[in-house]
Amino acid sequence: MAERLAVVLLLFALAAGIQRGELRRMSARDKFGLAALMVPMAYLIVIFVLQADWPNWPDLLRLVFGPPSERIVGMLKGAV
Amino acid sequence: MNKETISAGQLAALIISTVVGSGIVYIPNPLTAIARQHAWMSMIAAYLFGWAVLCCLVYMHRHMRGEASFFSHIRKMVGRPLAAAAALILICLLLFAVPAIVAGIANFFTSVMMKETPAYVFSSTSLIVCALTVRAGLEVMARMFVLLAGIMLAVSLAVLLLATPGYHLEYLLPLAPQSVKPLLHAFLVAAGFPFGEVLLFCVLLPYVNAAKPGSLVRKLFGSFAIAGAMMTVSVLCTILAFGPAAGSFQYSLYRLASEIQIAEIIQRIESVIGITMILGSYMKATVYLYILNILVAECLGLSDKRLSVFPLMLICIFLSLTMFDNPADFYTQVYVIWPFMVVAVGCSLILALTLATWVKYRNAEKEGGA
Amino acid sequence: MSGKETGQGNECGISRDLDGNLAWALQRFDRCQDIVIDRLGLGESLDTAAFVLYCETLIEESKNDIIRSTIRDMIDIEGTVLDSLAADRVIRHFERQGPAVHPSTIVRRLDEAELQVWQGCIVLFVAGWDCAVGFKAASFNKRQVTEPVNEPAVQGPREGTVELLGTNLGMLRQRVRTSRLKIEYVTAGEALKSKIAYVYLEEVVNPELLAEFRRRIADIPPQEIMETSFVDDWIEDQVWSPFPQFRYTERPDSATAALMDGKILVLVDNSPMILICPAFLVDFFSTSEDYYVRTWYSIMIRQVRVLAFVIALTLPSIYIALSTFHPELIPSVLLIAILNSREGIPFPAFLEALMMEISFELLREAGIRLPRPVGPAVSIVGALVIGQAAISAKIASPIMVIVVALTGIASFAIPHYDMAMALRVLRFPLMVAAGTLGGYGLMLSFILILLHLTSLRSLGEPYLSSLAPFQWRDMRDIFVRLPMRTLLQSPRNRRLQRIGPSRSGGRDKGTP
Repeated sequence: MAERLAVVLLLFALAAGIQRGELRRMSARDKFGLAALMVPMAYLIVIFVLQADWPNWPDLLRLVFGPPSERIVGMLKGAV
Repeated sequence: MNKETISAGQLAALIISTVVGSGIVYIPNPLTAIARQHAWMSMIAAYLFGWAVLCCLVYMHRHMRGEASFFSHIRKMVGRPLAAAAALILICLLLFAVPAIVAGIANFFTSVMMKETPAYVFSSTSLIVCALTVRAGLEVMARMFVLLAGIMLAVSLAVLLLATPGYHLEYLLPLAPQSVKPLLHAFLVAAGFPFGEVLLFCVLLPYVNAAKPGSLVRKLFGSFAIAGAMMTVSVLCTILAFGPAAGSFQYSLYRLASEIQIAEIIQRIESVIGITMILGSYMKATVYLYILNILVAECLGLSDKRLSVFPLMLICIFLSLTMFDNPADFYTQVYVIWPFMVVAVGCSLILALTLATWVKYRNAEKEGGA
Repeated sequence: MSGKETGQGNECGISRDLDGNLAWALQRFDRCQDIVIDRLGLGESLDTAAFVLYCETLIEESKNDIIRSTIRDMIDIEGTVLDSLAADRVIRHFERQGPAVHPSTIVRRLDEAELQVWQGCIVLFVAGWDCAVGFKAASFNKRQVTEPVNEPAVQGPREGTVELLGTNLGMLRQRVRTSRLKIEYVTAGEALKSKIAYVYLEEVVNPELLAEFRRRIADIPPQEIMETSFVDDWIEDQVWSPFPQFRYTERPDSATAALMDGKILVLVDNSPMILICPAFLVDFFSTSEDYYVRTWYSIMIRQVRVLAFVIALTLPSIYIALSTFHPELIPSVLLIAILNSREGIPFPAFLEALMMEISFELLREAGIRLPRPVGPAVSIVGALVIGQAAISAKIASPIMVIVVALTGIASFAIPHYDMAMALRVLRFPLMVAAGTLGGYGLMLSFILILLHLTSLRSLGEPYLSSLAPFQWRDMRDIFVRLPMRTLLQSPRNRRLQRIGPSRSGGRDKGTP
């Protein structure tokens, strides 16, 4: 877990370091927009660091698109 | 990023790099597993499907000239709420595509070449490079990819040619399939990945500055034809080299490269293919990350589009590391769910937008005429 | 006597009171013991006071009698007797700018008079006159025009530029005999007052490029410009890039060729280096000699340079990646030889390569600093001894020594020193990437380098011009050199033909 946390911190440091000028010049709207992006990012970081089996983005996709896609594939399975 | 423009030729290079990109290494295996020696027919059918999607894009581009962005164009077509919904659909597609490409790179290296290195090394390093490229801008990206796409095509063609001594034409027989279902299944997979993905280029169309109107059409379809030919040839060569066993090798082109043996000097060059695969996947991930960034930045109303590049990069890195539980899960998501998403959702969206564009401009012409 | 009037304003103006001017000179040039102040008498009974002011270390010995010969000339012109030459006559003579034997300049301000002294002029102050006149008498001991040390040529001109700006500009004028060759001066710095000249060929140079260059030159702060590279630092796009964004040359023929290509030259007084801007990556693969030799030889040499570029940048890192991560890529027989030679080496390939490369860099730098009689011998012997000793001590393998030697030789084969230095710098990060992630790391590094090169600009123009965006027509003269009769059918720069009707269609070279 420590290793994964170190990876997260390193990536953040790199991103913040490269973008520090832009981050300082952000407007209020930009800050709100970035904060909106931080929410799913934080969730994913927790899943990654803790290796938690929480619901993830593909699970949602599977929920919505899984049944019809698997049904179609099931219909199309057959010998050549 | 201010609005940059690229030429039709540069857009053509982007199309080749995304369509051929990682597909040339990944696609032969599932297609040949499904449709066996008839997989190349499905490829041609999928190419024609992609060609139809491209026609819709070219039609929309005619009415997009002068627009600041794709988002502003569809806002004019269908209003803000529906435009936001359309953008959201594309964002959902891209939030799967980009992590999946990167996870593919990581899977490849951790399973084949560098088994002891953790996956996050590959995911993070490749996405960092992608993000840096996105931040450099579309014009820089396009200029780079003209060179890199050429290198990628040349290396892939060289491998396919050098493997010629190992081809057996009889592996293509019998030519006529017994059932059309596997062909349709393979068609669905190929139509979703990679040919149908060309729908995502609708976002880049406002940035194309074609010197002559005809040149865009010529170069777009020409490049798509090259990409289609390349993909079809790679599937064909896989069948010719491995026959019935083609569907059991996970990275067919990689495996094909390992079979090449010429005069004890040219041998075991599969690492070269592995390296080339990085190029293709890098280019594809970069283009998709760029499109994703434009859409997200416009939806959030950011003043500087470069602000959202690194946050999106981080989201994609952590998605790629957590999305897939195991190879079977990867297979299901990439070859079952993703093609459905692209064909049923993405291409339907493009069709709907094309129809909306046609209706709007037909009415406008009628009013003008009246 | 021809004179040229300069100077505006009355601040620190020259006074009519000669004693005041003298007091200024004594105070200003206090403890400058090479400054000579000679008092004179002019006019009837020599009662019109005057003095001359000059720096004896800057003027030519034989020009000491300029004043005497000037006065004699005045007598001839004015038709007067020496005794009756009054101050007002002297003043009138200069102010009416009579014909002159010695070039002279009239100055009205004390700081201009000071500048004249430092430029090697003899300045004459006359009582009752609020101006002074400076006579050019400079003699600077400079190097003779010889073959440039860093750009020797087997075939072609052997002239090289020197430290005198005038001489260098004269060499360009000798070659480009048209009034379209424009030379504009700029002065920089408070103490050095360096004279900078920029040269371009009108109707050949891109007007937008010229405007951008002028804007950047105007933005240079009042800093001391000691050498041409100082100008480079101020006007280049990316200071932190390892790649040079401008070229240097000491050869007038290379500079002339650059002018014909629409480039802008920058020359600084007291520096022999000519700055050529903008410079693109493809420019660093060619030299002027390529156009003097036969076509096939020229093609071969260009290919060798491209190979040298690749080897100098990548050979050590490719060796590390192959030997550590991808041994299967090495042919079996060679692999066995490499494994045999590496047997007993306690270090991994990466450390071994790093040590040898650093040793080689130390040797190279040491070789440059050593005195000429000793330097080459020491560096060659040092390389041999260290290389042999390292192999005997099992610190490095013979194959590693070969890799390092080949890399060094390849970097010497690159004609432009700046580009070779860039590759030397980039070699080390590539080695680190190859040592940590093998071929994957190497590929990512190449992508990053390509990304940097693609986004790099030289005076606003893309650094990878001709490659990205790709121009087929330019391929005639980059990695190959087609025969001159083919090259010259479509001229080096289409603007050369702009005056008359164009001979052929096609896009302008500068268009992306």
